[in-house]
Amino acid sequence: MNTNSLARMYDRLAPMERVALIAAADARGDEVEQRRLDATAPVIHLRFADYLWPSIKINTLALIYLTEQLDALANYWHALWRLDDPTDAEPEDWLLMADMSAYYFVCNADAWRRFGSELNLDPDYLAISNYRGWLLQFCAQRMPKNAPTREALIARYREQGRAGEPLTADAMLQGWRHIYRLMTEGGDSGDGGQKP
Amino acid sequence: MNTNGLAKQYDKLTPRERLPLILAASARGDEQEADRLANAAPRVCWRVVDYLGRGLSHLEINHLHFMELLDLAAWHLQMLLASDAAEDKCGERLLGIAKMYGFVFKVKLAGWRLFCREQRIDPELFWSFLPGFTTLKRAEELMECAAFDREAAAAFLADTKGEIGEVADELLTPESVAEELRQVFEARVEWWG
Repeated sequence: MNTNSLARMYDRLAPMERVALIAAADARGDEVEQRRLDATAPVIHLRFADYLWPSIKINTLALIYLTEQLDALANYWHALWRLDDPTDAEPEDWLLMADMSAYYFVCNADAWRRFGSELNLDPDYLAISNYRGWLLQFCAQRMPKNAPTREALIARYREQGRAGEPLTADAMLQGWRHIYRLMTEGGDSGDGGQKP
Repeated sequence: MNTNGLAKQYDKLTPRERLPLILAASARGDEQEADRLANAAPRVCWRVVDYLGRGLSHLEINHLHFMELLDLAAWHLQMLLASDAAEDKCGERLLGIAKMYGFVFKVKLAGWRLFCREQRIDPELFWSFLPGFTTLKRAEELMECAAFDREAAAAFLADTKGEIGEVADELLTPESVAEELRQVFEARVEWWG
């Protein structure tokens, strides 16, 4: 297949054809092809409100947060369900998994609330407006009662001969700040000079 | 407090000042104020590649559908756990609900794959970078033996809702899910212009 002659047609691709080809190049790890497809895309001009780009970034972070919390919930119930299996040889592993998931859920919620407050954004509304279900709100009220303290979780780690320590809510908050910084580097000054 | 005087200053807000105010207005249901803040924002001109709108729309719909599947997986597991803890009829009923969630999960996943095939996009490319991808794959395996097929789902719903034929007609199909995704996607693309 002559890719050079194909490449000469790259500027004629429709937007969705290009998205599909970039995704396919990404899937096979072909960064050169990705860059070539991106560089040959026609450029257009869009006119939007100056807060749109910060809004997209913060909503993307909210989606990541919600995904993490749903993942923690699914892991929590999976572990408790497996714990009920009388044939399981190591039920203590499932109990630890359930405790770790509950602990993660509670700490991440705390970190997200503090992160949102730092940006003067209502963290609960950001989450609610990006999520159509009600499971997360329901569990946010109840999970703190089921989650172990960090000290109790560390003690359980040690009992089972495991190394390492669980993350703190402070460390998770640092994580949110770090991702936000990465997303806003190179153009988002917050004063109207955003570029995608 | 004279809000009109304040409103006259709205065009002087920076994006980082404006965004919290718009969200706060939306959160308290004050859409008028949210619109006023949004409309007063200065316009900026972006020079971007022509696929930006489609690309971002696809990422957004990827994320939202992934979250929906994780939500269903969480419900499914919670109901399986509850069914083990309950006895007799109640336990059977909860197991049925778990299997119903399993059915919806499978259909929504099949609908997603159908939509992505039409768009010629790998359905799991973006998902594989998201937290929860392993959980989703594990849930998919579990659903193979803990979910209703279409007939069983219709029969289960008919138990509570009425005639089996009517209920089966109302059940989701991969095609109906793909169609809904298509509509949401096109609406997002149109918004980008």
